Amino acid sequence: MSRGETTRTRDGSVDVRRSPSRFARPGWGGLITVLVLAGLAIHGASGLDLSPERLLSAPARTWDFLSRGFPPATDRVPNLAAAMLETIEMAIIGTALGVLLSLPIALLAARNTTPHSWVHVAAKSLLTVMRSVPDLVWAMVFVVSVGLGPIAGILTIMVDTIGFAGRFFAERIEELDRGPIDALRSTGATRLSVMACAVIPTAFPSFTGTSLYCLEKSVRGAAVLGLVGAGGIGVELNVAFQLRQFDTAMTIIIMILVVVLLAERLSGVARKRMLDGGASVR
Amino acid sequence: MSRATNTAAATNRANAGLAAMVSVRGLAHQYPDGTRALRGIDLDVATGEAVVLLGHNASGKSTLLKALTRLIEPTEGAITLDGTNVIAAGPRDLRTVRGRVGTVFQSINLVDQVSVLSNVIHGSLGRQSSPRNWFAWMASSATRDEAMECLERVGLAPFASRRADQLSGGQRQRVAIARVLMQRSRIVLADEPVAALDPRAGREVMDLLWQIVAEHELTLVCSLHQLELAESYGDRVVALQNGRLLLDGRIGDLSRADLAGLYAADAGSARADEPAAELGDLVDRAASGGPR
Repeated sequence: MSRGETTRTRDGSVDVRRSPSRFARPGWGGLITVLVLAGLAIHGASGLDLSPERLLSAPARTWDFLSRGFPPATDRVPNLAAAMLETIEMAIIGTALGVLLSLPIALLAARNTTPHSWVHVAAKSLLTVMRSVPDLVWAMVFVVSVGLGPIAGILTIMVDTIGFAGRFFAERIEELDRGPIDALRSTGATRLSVMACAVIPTAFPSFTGTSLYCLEKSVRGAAVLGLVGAGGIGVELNVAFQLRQFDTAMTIIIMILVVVLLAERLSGVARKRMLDGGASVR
Repeated sequence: MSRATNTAAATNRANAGLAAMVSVRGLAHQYPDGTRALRGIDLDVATGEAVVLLGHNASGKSTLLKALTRLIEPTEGAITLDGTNVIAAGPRDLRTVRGRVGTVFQSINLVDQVSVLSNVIHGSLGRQSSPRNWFAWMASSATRDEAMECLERVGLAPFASRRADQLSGGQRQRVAIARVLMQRSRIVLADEPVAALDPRAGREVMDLLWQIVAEHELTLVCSLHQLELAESYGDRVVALQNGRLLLDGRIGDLSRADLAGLYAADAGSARADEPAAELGDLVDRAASGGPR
């Protein structure tokens, strides 16, 4: 008999002195999963073309980029500021549209507010699709649809925000205390009124926190959308790299860093104030 | 047969002859896990009557109150509120019925993130479903004035612009009563309205609720655990045990021992699938100073 197994004494009682084994034996499913993942990793590594020459030349190339990047081209800042402003505006407009549109989708996706189980499945699936496709792929799709420029960027951020915020909004709605909802139902209020007066206000602090996080995420995401032509500072960054103007590229990278850090800081402060003070819908 | 049993029968007969504001026949409810919360409840409440529901936890009081307006869908039975067949009502009719029934909850159930005034205005949503009544800042002057009068009546007009979660428990329950006033309801259902309050705040809330019920000649069904409150405020006591009607009598016809017997008997520990204790046995035991 192995350690940890329950034993019975002669009189039939259970011997509880034996402790269970320290490690559980992995099941066949777990073992196969690990083997498949290991196989994929080995296959991927073998196709990387990791030659010693490439690894040895990497530090020199990096040093070349850094030495040509510093000092940054500060004289380009006024021109680049317009593109940076466009990036921030894209993030704000896209996030605002995304948050507004994600609210009704979340109400349809949440089990306790959906009008029908089929609507719940459809809304949830829509959110999953929006969230699962990477934002750069959405950007390429919208560049094809509406052409190069910030509109493609705004649409990309909007879809990305709907996928992200819609899921969190729906989950929050499903966790809500039923008390205020029942109180409003008991007054004879319509379904729409119950949602507007009880569901949304009760979830409002959480919605605010999620929306601010989306804004922060959008500012970060918007900076690279230009790499595929969806407007903003990313376009300038792409051009700078292609022309090997590393001092301009370094300026852009520093500008992105400052803006993203500022956005994170402001969003963090605002979220803390909202949640500590209790965001309200008067 | 005990005095209480006679009273129960007499009350039912008397109520059957009156225009009942609340009429329940054969009401049953079974939760998805198989728990039978209500079993064949028959009850009539006359216009202007104040009925107190007593019974142990899980005896079916809250389920009965929620089932009356179909916040919980009854499994079987008939309910008539103010002349409307609640069970047969479609969504629109059901909202109309609910609009005539004010509910005060044990857990108060205000919307904490909005102002006190908005919470009171929500009481009008059953009769005026306009989006203007969603929040106080959107509401018409007439609606705001009426809501302020309701708040004035419960003594909380100075708190109108405060957020609901900034009030004490007693104040919050008074706001819930103001919401019922705003509803202009004809029936009030109160589910242990003082359970979450200290004794003093509880008394204040009960005084206020009963004053308002008397002033507006409302019909009240109120569940309570406190026998002294039931004696002080109720016209009639209806006791439940394991989802069945155990006792129904006028307060004046019941002795303290009758009431105490409801809680002294080990009713709450009975298995849900066991039949309820015989009413006569229970009340006789209580009247003879049996186990407390």
